[in-house]
Amino acid sequence: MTTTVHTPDHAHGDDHHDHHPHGLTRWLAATNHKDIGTLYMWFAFIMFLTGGVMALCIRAELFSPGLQFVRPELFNQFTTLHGLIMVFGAIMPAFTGLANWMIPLMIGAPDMAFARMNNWSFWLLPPAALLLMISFAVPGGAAAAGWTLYAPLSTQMGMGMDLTIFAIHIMGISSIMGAINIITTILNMRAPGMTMMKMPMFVWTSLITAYLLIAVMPVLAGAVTMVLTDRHFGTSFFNAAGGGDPVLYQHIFWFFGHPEVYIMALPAFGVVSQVIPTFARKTLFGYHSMVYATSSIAILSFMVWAHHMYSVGMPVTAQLFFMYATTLIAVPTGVKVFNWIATMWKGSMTFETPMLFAIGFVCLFTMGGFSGVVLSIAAVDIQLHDTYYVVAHFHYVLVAGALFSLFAAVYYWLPKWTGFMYSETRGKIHFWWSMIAFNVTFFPMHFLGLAGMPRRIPDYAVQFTEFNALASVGAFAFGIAQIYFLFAVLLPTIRGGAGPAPAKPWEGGNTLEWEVPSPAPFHTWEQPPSRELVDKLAAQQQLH
Amino acid sequence: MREQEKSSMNPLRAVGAVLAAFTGIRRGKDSKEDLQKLKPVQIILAALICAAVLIAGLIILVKSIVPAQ
Repeated sequence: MTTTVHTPDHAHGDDHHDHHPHGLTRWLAATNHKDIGTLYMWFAFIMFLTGGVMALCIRAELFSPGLQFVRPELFNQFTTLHGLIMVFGAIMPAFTGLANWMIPLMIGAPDMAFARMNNWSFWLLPPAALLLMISFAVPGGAAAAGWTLYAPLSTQMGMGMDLTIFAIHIMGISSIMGAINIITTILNMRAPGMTMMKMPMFVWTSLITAYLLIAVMPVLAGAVTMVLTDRHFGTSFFNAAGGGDPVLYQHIFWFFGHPEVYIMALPAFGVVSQVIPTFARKTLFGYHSMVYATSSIAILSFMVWAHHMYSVGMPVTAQLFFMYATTLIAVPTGVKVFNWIATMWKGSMTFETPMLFAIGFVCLFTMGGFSGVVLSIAAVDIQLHDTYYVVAHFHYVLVAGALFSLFAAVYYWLPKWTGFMYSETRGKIHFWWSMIAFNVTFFPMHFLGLAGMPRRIPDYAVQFTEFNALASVGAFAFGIAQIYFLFAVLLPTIRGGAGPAPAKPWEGGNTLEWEVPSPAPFHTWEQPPSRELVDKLAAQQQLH
Repeated sequence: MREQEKSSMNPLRAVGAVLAAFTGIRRGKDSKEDLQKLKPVQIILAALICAAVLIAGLIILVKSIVPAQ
């Protein structure tokens, strides 16, 4: 792979490169990868809090049996929008924001390849979020078919469903453009000497994730467009009465949906693969096998989609095929877990907050992976399908997986972003508070599911009361922990935190972002890092 | 010289690298040699072929398990 040498751009006749626009224009017309990364991260955090409030409404209603606070229709809308907002509004934009901020810094590039498209990618997101939010106020309310928007529910609802379909279209376009930017930047703008096999793991996982996005977002767009034409233009793709098949929707949706799981998980793997070696003061164990395992997961993720639909009535042959394929995908995922453990093995470990979140990730993601293997067995899944066991499983993967890795990333790179150190004590409080509250919330859901409590219901039989009450208390505690993070960690750090951060606050960090000052100047790597520096850092990581 | 080495097809080595990637077990020496002797396109091709073989293998397996209707 060739690399491009960048020369500083003197076309503006201005050698002072730390000037930047101020006020609203800075953000509306942003083309700087750091500004756009910041916008993505704040947008994701706001959506995370919004989706979180919906989750708390759900948990408040489920605190005790019977209907307390919300009508069942509104409950279903909260359930649906909570899922959509967390997936498309919080986790995916947060990882795109991280990629925007960190990839150019980590590969020695001055910016993302398509700076203006980058701006457009971001600014498509707020209108999409707005569409989702105003859908609560339209006749019939917001979409209430679950985040999967299964037909025939989705072909029957009010205009809230149309707004959701358009929101998904817009967010899909944004994701695809973001992915194109990431791929082009990584393939064409690496510093001289940084071969593919010397790239940091976060860059690798972002690259593979971007390919997955380009492959599957059009599939989702196609599925929801078919729903739209079924609703308004007389087609019958999913209408059995017109010769269509509602199960077709499920197949198309999950052909998108399963790779989507890895779109949310792979960048998390990348973050953890940066954080653990830094705080274990060892190189990443099996870098090459990590790269290959990530690629294996990406390929295999396309052949397991129907394990989400065992109970829909597939032939036994198909059930067995998807069961075996799904069980096999646990192998490369397991490789990664063993590699992280081997990286920590006999390392000089310290437990700063990023490391705590990374270790928390490894422990809890593994549990989510195990419950996934349980669910991959068709005979078991038919019992557990649409129960709280599934809710527990995917929250272990997405909250303790994706979200914890995002917190690890934020604590890890916050000194680089803000120029200030966060309070380690408060960071640790945030970690332990989140860790305990998360498990109090979601671990009892395994038992609820095994006992047969269905998901997506506002009321339940009295025998489920205790575990539901416990989960609701945990959920509110988890929510408060995130408010604590905002007001006791994030905002104080931006205002000065625990003092100025050095360029390299973590002694074990040996990637290129630690070679620029903290906070990272508005423009970085206008002159690419020297080949000697790239080679030196690669040697420190034992990458040859 | 190295480009010449890389351009010579080595399908078994590519398949070996892919299978090793799947299981996560590869000697450090072999892994370094993979990088020297294989081009990325060879690995990607081998990975896609292996995935196709895996799918075919699974289909044959499940067909042999499920009695014909």
